[in-house]
Amino acid sequence: MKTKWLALTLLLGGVLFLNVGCDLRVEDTPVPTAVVKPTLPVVTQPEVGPVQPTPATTPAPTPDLLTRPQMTVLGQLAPGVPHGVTTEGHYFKGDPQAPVMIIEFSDFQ
Amino acid sequence: MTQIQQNYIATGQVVYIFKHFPLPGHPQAQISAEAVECAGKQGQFWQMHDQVFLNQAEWSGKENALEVLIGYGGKLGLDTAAYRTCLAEHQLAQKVRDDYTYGQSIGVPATPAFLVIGKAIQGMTGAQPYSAFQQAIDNALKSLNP
Repeated sequence: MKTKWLALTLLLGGVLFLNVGCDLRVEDTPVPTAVVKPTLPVVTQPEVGPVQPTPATTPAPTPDLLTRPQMTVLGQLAPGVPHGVTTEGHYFKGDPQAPVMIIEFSDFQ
Repeated sequence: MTQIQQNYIATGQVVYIFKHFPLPGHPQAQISAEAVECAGKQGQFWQMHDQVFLNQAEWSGKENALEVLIGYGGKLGLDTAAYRTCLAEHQLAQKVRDDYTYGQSIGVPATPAFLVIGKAIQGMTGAQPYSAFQQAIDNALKSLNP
């Protein structure tokens, strides 16, 4: 009688063991999961590279004010007062070889 | 200006160059500068310079300023048709604007502004008495012939 109970217990234990094994195998099977796409906006960082020289937006370099422009005499305004125009188109009066040059910036109003 | 011309320009010590600097706050500064440039195109720059400068009250702030300026062309014996066209078409407007841009680039703050250039550059702004020019010019001459 004891042998029957022992055999029955072993049988039940084996069945339970097989069940557990089956359960484990089911758990091992990969469960398909939904692909979650990111909901945050993707922010791309601007590429950082070497600083490129910017196009010239400032006025062209001014000519050296100490340099005398070329002047062409057109005539005489008065005795000893020649007048003419520089190669840049500015009007002058006086001797182009005069040691001192005055430049006036002005308007008429 | 008369004294500078008599004592320094006519004696060969100074050469005097004019550049435009039409201030934005002066609404007729641009057209009056163009008037002088258009006269220069016909060889009468300094004559028109004096005419426009000395008779400012006749045109400045007046609605008929353009006609007054054109009238000066007739007084100076210019080809008035060509002169009128030069002004009406703003043929030399860019030249005036270029002067202004250049002045800004070197820091001209106001008008009139003067650069007295000898061995170095001395700047003066605003209406100045003759004595101020005399001192600046004499200093420039001394710097060149110490």
